[in-house]
Amino acid sequence: MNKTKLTIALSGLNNIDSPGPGIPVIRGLRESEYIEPRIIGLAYDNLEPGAYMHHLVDKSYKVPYPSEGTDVLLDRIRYINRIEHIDILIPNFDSELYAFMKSEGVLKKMGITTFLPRMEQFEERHKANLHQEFISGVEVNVVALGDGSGNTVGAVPMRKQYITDKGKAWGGITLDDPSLLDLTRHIISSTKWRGGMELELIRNENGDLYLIEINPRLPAWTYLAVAAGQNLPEALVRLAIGQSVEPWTDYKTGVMFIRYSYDMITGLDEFEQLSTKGEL
Amino acid sequence: MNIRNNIAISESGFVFDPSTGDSFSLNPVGLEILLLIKQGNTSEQISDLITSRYQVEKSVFERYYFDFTSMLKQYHLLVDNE
Amino acid sequence: MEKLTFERPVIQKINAGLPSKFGISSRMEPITDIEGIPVRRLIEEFGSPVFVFSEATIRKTYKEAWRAFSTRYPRVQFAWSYKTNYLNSICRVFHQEGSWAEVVSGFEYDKAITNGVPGEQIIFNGPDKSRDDLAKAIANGSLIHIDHFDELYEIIDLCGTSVKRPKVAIRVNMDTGIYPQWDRFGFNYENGEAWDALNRIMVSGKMDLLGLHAHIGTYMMQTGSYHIAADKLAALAVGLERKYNHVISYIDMGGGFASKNTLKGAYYPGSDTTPSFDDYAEAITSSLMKSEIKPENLPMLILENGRALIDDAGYLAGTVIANKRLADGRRATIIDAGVNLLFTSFWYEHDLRPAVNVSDQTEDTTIYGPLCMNIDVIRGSIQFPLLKKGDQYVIRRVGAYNNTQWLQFITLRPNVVMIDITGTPHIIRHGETLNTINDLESVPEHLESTDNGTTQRTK
Repeated sequence: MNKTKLTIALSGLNNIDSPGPGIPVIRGLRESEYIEPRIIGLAYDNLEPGAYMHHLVDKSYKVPYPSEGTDVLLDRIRYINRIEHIDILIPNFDSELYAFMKSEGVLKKMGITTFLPRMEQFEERHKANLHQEFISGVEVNVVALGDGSGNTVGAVPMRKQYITDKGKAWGGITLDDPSLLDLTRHIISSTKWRGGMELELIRNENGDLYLIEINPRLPAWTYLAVAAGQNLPEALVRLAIGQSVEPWTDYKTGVMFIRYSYDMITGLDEFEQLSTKGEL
Repeated sequence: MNIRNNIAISESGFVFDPSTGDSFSLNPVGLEILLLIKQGNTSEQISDLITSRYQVEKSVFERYYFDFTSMLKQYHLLVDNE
Repeated sequence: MEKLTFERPVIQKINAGLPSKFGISSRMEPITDIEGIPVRRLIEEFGSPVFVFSEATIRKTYKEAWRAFSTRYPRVQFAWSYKTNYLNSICRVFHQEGSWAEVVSGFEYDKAITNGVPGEQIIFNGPDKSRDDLAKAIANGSLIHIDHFDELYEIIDLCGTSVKRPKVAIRVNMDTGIYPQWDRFGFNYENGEAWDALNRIMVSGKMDLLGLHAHIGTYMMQTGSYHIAADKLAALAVGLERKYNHVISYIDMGGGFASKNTLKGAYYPGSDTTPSFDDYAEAITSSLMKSEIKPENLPMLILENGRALIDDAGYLAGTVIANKRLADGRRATIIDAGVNLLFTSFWYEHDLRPAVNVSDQTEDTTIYGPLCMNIDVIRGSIQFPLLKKGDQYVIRRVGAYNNTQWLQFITLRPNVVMIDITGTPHIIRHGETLNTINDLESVPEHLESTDNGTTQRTK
């Protein structure tokens, strides 16, 4: 099959002990049957590992924090776009989403497509009956993708097998749990959710589910869904460029991930490049 | 007064101190001055050179120069050897 | 040979986890002039520091807000919030644009009168209205917004001696989903106190109940709260229609709209997150239009915005006094305006800009005011370009609250200038002099001489 060549810019390259979703999303894209990506990394910090992982990231640029103001961030994106001609932008940090959602039209004019929740979905998720009080039980999560018309393109539930002191999954396993999928489909259809999403839930001893949080992006454990048969990053990109994606009806249960860290050796000259020139 | 001799200075203004692992970034004038110090120029010579090249009065330059060298000392890049 | 432009030499440590803008060009745009007048000239002519207001910006902002409301609702009236900035020239621009006056003290009330505002166009708010204030407001036909029962009974009492019937509204406080809830002003909605107060006014038969007023908070970023507040006021209006067949003339939604300043602790700059006038207008007017108030009885909508209308029009321009290094090597820049003049620096990360063209080079800098006081910090940490002693700066968006909350502390307050729409600057408040302060003081005879020992204390 002829793969579509796309230049995809994404952030969240902080593949550290409390990782961002950038690298897992890139892994999904690199394994795609449909697209051949050129990956542009957007790094906020000189030490984001992804910027140095050249087998996954083709070129990286430093970007200013969104707290500097959307205009400053967009100026930088404009500069990068002049060099790289970005097709798709996938922000992976919560703190960026507001700025990029608000700038959807400006980005579109630059020729950059996003596939993000709409502002009202982003605001409404605060009101989705989220539970504040302490509930004891097992934490379960769902990664899902909505097409923006109410359809759930894919969804994979997972249980964290162990949680690190930073509250992140150390290991996790995909679950066969129709009630979690029903709830996910309900949320996506009632909000007409567009883009990636992670649901954080607690199931108490009686089996009742409590929604703790809706994260409006793909999570750091996204690659588990890819391994279980749903390449959600690829589907997100295909939806963004207007391709129709057949919703998944299945995934493998009992697929497991164990997160590990790895000391990558890098050249001081590379650190110099990123920290003084802002490009690597 | 000189730059510690194991300090690596690159053309981009990137400075690496191998004894501490710290790295620094210089602006172009900062880089120029650091290299002049490294070449063994005295404060007076540096002041003459910079004020002849740039639009700056001697008294003004000297104030910035001493501020700059005090930062170099604070970062342990500069040692007194005079 | 032409000499090159000099830039201060800088070395910065590259820290992980801290924003480092090296490698990214992010020039801070200078503000070299205000309404076409170079900042250098303004300072030469009017001194440093100096507050500068743009009349054109005030009028433009007013029209923008007016358009947002008047295109959505048939009857709209703005009332200028005096406490936000009661310099007479500022007030008069608003009055020329059509604003009534909204005052919260006898002093502000008298200021509005001397600015030529007709009594019936003054809204008198706040918890502190003296008996004399109330009598004057009744006589002038001003709109008295009752804050508490003690005031209500005082007005009933005054009805006995007054020829005119007082024109009143009540202020209502309520839960609009924001925290903390402002419940110290007015009568509470949820516990029935507001309805109770309205009943007492109606039953007394001595007052004209014209309106309902709410002011739900300050720097409100959630427009939804205004929608809730408008719903609740409309419900009270409907209650009055049903029970007494009484139609109110206006609903006053107060103020509280945010300006584009960035609050301390906010992640995004205010310019990115502050709702527009259209956002606020939509929240308020959609509630009133959808309410059960009969269309022919739709009340006038009054708004008392201050900050959102004046913040952008005000600038503070001044001069760098000195640079120094702090103990940890950080840069500190001392400027000639402190927290005494810029009270709002206690809650804003003010937008401070150089007034001269500078290089891209910035350094993490603390900006101190000139006061000999540790709390005199204008910006705790800002990536700021390298200004020299004598260079000038401009602080944007200082139009609200500074000229009313500033302090005469350690030093005198400077000139305030307004640039009119033709670009001509006028002093609208003169800088204070030693006499301004000393003239208010008197020294007892035994302290007239400071010659210790020769002056005898007499009985």
